Amino acid sequence: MELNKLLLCLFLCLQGISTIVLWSLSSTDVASQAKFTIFLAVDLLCFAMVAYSYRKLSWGLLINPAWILVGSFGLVVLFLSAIFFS
Amino acid sequence: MTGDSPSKTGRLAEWFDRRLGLSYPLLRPVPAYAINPFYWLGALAVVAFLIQGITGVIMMLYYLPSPTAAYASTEYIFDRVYYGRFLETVHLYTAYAMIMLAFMHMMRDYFVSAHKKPREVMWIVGMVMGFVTLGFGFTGYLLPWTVVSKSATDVGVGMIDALPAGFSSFVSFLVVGAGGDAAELLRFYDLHVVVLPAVLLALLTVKLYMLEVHGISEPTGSERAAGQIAIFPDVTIYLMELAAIFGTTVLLISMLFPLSLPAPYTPALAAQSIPQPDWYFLWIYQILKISIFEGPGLPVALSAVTLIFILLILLPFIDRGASRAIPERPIFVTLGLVFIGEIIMLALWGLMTPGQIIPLGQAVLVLGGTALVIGVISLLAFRLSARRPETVGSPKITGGKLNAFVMTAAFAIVVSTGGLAIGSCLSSFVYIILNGEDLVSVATLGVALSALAVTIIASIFLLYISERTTGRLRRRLTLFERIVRSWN
Amino acid sequence: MESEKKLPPSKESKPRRNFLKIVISASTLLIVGGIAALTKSITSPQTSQNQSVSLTFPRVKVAQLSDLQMNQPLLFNYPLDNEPNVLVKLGQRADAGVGPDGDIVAYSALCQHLGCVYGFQAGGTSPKCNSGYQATSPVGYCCCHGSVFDFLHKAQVISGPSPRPQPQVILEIDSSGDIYAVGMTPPSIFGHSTGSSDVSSDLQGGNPVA
Repeated sequence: MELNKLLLCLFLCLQGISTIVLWSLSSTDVASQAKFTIFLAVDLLCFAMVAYSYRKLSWGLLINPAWILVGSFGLVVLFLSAIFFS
Repeated sequence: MTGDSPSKTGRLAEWFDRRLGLSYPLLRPVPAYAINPFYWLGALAVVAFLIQGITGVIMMLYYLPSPTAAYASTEYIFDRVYYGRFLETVHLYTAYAMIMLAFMHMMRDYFVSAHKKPREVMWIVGMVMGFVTLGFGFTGYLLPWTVVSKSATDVGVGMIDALPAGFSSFVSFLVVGAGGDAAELLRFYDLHVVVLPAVLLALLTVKLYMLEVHGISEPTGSERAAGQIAIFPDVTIYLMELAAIFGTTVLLISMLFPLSLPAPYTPALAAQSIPQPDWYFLWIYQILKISIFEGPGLPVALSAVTLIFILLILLPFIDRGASRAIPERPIFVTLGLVFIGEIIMLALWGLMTPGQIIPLGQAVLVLGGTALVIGVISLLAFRLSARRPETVGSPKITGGKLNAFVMTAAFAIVVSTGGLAIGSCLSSFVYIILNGEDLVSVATLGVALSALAVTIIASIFLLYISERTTGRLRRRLTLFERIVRSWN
Repeated sequence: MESEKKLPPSKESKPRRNFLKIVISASTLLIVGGIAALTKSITSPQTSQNQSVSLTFPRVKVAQLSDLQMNQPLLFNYPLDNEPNVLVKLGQRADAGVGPDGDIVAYSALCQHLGCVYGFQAGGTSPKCNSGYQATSPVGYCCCHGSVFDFLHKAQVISGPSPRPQPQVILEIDSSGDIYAVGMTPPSIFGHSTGSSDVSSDLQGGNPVA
């Protein structure tokens, strides 16, 4: 359960960071909009992980680590492409 | 919340709950088996519609529906509006996603027989909603007033004249008005932004009401899992989870395939380009390009397409079998698969032959061939799965999770994907040897190799599942060993 | 209705359930907050730097010498289509005037006071909106609040509420008599960082002419 709590807080932090980045991005240049897309995707993916964990944990079921891995892999890909675009 | 002292957050939550009525049992709870993405394809289409609404309304602040200003205002959104490019890109790809989701929703409900009693009217309302969604695509496509969009729409509008007389003038008035570009654009805009959304929302309300009355359709051939889940908060959060994954996918695609605005429409430029509709109309376009439908044959073609639509709408009255389980509906499941295969084949073919008339013989060969191949494979699969004897001692599968039909289909897909992957590997490898490396061919090789790897893993996995569930492989293996032993 | 087992089972501990509820609420709020960043697209999109803005003034033909008559003003837009200017052949030498007599000048027609489009008044004439005022030399007279600009001397303010002179269009004339607008002098045009000493603002916030 501690691991789960840690994971959830980590995803929340990632969400918070990406929300802050989203608001701080500049306006109309193309690279900025690409980064907006990426960080909004990060935000949504973290939310999906949190919602999935909520669903499993609140019903007393076990979280399938495969999905967490898939989601984390997706997040890594997104962050890497953010670096690629900046 | 029984018998414990409420915490501060608990009391706050209860304050909201009492006033907003969040946990009031207004909507019937969802059965546990419905926590499965396939049950929510329609809901995701609605989520896509909402995204369209939000991005569309923001863009409406800047778009001007007149032929002189349409392209310029679209360009303005792309270049000057904050996140304009993002809005345009997301709007387009979510539109595609909405059409694709609606189609998947329709096919999935067809295969699980959710159109049978008592949900026939839901199917009909759903089909009309599908046509409205296609109408969204058709009307929206014109609005940027680019060469591509105007010339494609002109083809579509020109076909209205081929409809029967009274009908043609009514539709023409609705869509083009007094005639001329300005009237047409304004009416398309009006349809896209007010009329079609209103109609869609009205139909959605009707459908959701009927869903509430009838409930979510039960899965066939499996035991019903006990347990009902309340709409708020659990099912709501599940839907948000699915919507978040859907949103991430759309954003990923927006990032990988950024948009650029094609050239603005001028009659001179349009004369040089070959009109092609957007991908979701390509199958209709391809049918209309068959040689016997040219010229005077056009009304016949339109009637044929209309007939297909009418058959789809009236499906609940055509497919009247009482059974809902897939293994017990060989003919209709086969027809469904043939339908999907034909649409995909027509669309791909249309993509590869822009502007070319298709000779009748070729059309019959391709379409008939597709139907034949898919039909034969499907019916064979039914035959084989029906003949499978019950093996003693092999572990029973619970429910319709992975019956033999699905297994056969999965094997077929895996084998053909493997074949394609090997073919692509070889051809890109040869290309690289002959012509040297370039980005596209190396990327193709990489994709083909990964597809091959996935195929190998998938076939091993399928073999393992097959072994576990039927034990047929074990029997074959022991048979083989017995033969070898008796030989020696 | 037959008995329904309601999920989730309540065997989960209270603090754990509260933690989960807090987490999911926070997550939802963050998502909504992230998407709300899109509302920036509803605010003014004009003041951003983007690739389609040219950073140099275009060279645009605005008049032909042989078509000009003395004291007959000509309106043209430059450098953007929402920036009108007035060009006039004054008949007397003016500061920074072009042409064989140095008497052709052009100034921004948007009054630096509050952006009204003012008109040209030749010497000895009165504006229709104020027959009590008679111009003693060629001026620009703004009917909104009475600003008067001296067209012989770089549109300096003679009287009235305008805090600054009008921006002047930099003109060039070639051997065939074609008159080109090639730039603007400070201050920047009304509505484009009004009154700034950096004229590059004149190039933003509208569509370029030609």
